[in-house]
Amino acid sequence: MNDFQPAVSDSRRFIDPETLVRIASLELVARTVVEGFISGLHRSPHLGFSVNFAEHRAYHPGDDIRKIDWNVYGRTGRFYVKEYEGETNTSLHILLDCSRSMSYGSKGITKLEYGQFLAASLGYFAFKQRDSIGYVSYDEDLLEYIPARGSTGHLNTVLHAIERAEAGRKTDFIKSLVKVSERLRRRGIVVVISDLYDEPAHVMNGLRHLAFRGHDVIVFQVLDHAELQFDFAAAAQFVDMETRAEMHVLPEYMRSQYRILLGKQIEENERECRKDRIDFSLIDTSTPLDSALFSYLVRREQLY
Amino acid sequence: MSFLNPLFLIGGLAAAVPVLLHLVRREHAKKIEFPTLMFLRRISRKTIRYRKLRRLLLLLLRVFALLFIVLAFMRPYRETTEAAPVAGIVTTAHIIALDNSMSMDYRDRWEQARKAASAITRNSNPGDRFAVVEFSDTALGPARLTTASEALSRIEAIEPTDRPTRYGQALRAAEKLALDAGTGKRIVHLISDFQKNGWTSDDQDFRLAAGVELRTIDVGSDEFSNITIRDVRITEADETNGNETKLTASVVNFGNLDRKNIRISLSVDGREVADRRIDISGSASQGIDFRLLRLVPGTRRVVLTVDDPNLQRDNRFHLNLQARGKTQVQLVENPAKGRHSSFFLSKALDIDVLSPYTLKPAAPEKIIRSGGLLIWNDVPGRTAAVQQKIRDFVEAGGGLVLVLGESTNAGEFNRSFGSWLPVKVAEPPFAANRTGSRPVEDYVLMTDISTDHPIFRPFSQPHSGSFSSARFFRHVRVSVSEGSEVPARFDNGDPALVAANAGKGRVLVFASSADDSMNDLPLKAVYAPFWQQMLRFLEKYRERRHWREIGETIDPRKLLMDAAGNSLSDESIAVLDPAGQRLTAGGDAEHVLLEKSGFYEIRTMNSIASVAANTPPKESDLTHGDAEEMAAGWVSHGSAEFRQEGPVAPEEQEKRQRIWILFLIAGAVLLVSEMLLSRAATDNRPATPVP
Repeated sequence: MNDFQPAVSDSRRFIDPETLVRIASLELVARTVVEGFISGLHRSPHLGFSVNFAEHRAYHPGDDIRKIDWNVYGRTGRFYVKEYEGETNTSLHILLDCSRSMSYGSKGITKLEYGQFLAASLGYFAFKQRDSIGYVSYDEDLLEYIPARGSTGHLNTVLHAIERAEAGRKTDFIKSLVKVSERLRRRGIVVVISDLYDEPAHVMNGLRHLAFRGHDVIVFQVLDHAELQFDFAAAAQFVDMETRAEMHVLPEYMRSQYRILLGKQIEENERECRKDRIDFSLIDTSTPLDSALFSYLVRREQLY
Repeated sequence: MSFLNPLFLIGGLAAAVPVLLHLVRREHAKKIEFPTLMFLRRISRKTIRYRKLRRLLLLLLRVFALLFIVLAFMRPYRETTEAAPVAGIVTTAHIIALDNSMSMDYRDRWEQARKAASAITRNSNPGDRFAVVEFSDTALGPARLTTASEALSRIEAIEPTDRPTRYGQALRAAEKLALDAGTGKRIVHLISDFQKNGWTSDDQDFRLAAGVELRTIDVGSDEFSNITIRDVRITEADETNGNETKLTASVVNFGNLDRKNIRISLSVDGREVADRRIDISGSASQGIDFRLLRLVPGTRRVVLTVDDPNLQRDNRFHLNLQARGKTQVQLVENPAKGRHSSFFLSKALDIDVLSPYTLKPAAPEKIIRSGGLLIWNDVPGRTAAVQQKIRDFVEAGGGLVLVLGESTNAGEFNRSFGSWLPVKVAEPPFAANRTGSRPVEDYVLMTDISTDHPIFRPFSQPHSGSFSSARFFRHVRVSVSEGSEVPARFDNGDPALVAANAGKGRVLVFASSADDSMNDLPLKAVYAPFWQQMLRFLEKYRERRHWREIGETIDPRKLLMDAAGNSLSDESIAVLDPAGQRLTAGGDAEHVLLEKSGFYEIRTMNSIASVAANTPPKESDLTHGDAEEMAAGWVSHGSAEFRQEGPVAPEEQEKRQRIWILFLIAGAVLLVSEMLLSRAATDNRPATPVP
């Protein structure tokens, strides 16, 4: 299970998401995040691999020992093998949930914006790894589909597409993810960035569709801090952003129950995902993006 | 309950704050867009209901905590006028002497007194015994001491009366009850307005027995204002006042406040006939005249009313006005003398407005037998039939004046009138040295007069007329026997006027002429009133009192007899009080005590009399006496205690009761409860760790 707080998290080095909002260019955001993340990894004595993942990877029994980088061994005491550029070649499909509930934000950044930053950062990161990048946005249906490509110009296309994303309508996981899974012919990494606000069964069915197609699925459940803590003080009339249903809520008397129920739901999501070898990470939009990146990194490392 | 600091109630408004907040929050709950209500909807209604209930309970705890704290700061106390019971006393005998005289009905004095009396019963120790003595000029109390609840019931049943105040009887009655209580603490609580007029010289000599404590509760005040009609003077109709009866009401303003536009009204037999409006200064009196046209003969009920709301019991003055009309007097004259013999009589009696009588000449044979008055003016030659007629007339209740003039014959008189009257004419009838001429110096005077006799009583006062100047040149010598009285004699000792009863009637024998043939009495001023008095005596006319005072007793039978002019034999008599309640009935009517103001009626089958009763004028004077001085005079030196209480000061009452502590404790307990419940209710647990 991924650690909620990545080991290299350092608020001084990694820009908080609220600040990222002020950066006009998504590409710049992605670069800023990724470069910062990479530089953090460089300086960390605890990591066992080089950031130049295009050139190094951890040693697995059976690897050609001639590819072991002894300099790195001398530095770290661990075995890493060199990889040549172009040696690793996978595709990354970023699925961004653009349902209306993703437009919620309590601290200056909405879940969708956070998701966009995350998607852009992952895309940029993958580009640096010479992976091909594809992008899908959806709500109750597919909104935009960009197949995976590996060219430089394609990164910009993807980034632009991510930048264009806007919160739309309701959520329909099954319908959207089934459509996505039918389009993704080539196996790769599928990153789902969503708040997973749909019927739990629908969510898992949608994810399983992807997993059963042989994709490596990473799920980032992105939730706002207010959704997680439910630190509302006064009684209020709560309005569902997608269904527009209303409910009078007394937070002080419903908070604990809410947290319990949400926690259980998250646990169930994680448990179900684990069953199908789907990576699950809960992301609080008030935390820096590096933990998400780290999760991606580790997963990719396990694969390759 | 009362409060020392009522302004703290403003703080009580703070108690409304949580309520308002609670309401406002509910009413103006803002709308918040939330990604999904999925999880919120799963929270059970039961949980929400439970939490709502707990929230309401918190609200109530806060409100009541605030309220109790505010009440504590307001320093509440229960009003009581009784000092706290002395600690250590197991049983105490409380004798509550409650003044319910008329003056206690002034404004709210009675309510204060009743409250004070009730407080005594409530603030007592278990085992204490009580007696309630209501007093005015009499004292009414129980035979023995009772419980607090019985005493309280009695207090609530007592009402003010129309009666005056006398403290002596009340204290004596209270003392007796206190001494009957035996050993233990004995307290007499005297609750009164301590009216100065209620303290008589008799009361000053009274001393409470040793061992009896006296406590006074004074509900009177030095400031007061009461207007009443103290007296009414009646001026009978005459030619000088336009033949109208004039009533002059003496209106008094007790108290030192000037009063304006006070209405005085007059009603006759229940019908208002006149009214006046006056301004009257404080401590002043004023006479108000009312004139009444000639009234219908009979007894008229007159009420004078003053509109003064302060003390209403003395606002009405009742009186009975007797409109007599003219009484017919039969006159039998001596035909030989012509009209001259009755000339002076007619001048004295047959006058339109000055005399209640009118003369009716009658022949001896035609005397009306059914009662009335008859003057037999020196008439000789009575036949037996006539004589019998006269006798029957008198014995049936008539009144007869026998004038013995020049025609008097001793033998004839003695055979006729002398046979049934205790009067005889001497032989010769005239004085021996009287020759029939009128020597100027040869006369006697009627000087020996019984001024106690009803005929001569009005002449007993100085300047009310004198008989001594009347000269009697000739008179008839009469002798009297048992059964007669001689109200007047000549200066030689001979009877001038003899009075005798015969049957139901009366007879007067005048031993001289009714004209100026034997005397010059007709030329004197007393002549007319003298004859009118004789006739009044004969008709048993009583100058009835126009009204009486409450506290007097009346003899109903006697009053009826006076009104009817005859006896009532064994007729049953009923007396009704002003409220119409029957007081007594029976052959032997008892004396009746007048206790209420208004008209009492005394009735039989055939007759009716009215008695007007008014409140005693002195009781309307509410001048406040010094309670301490009065009470100190009733206490034996060195033995019984005296304690003046009056109403206990509010601060002292509050200090004794300390009710604020209870409220403060209650408020504190509620606050602590609110704190504990609030902590349990509010969810401040750390966020559930999420994966």
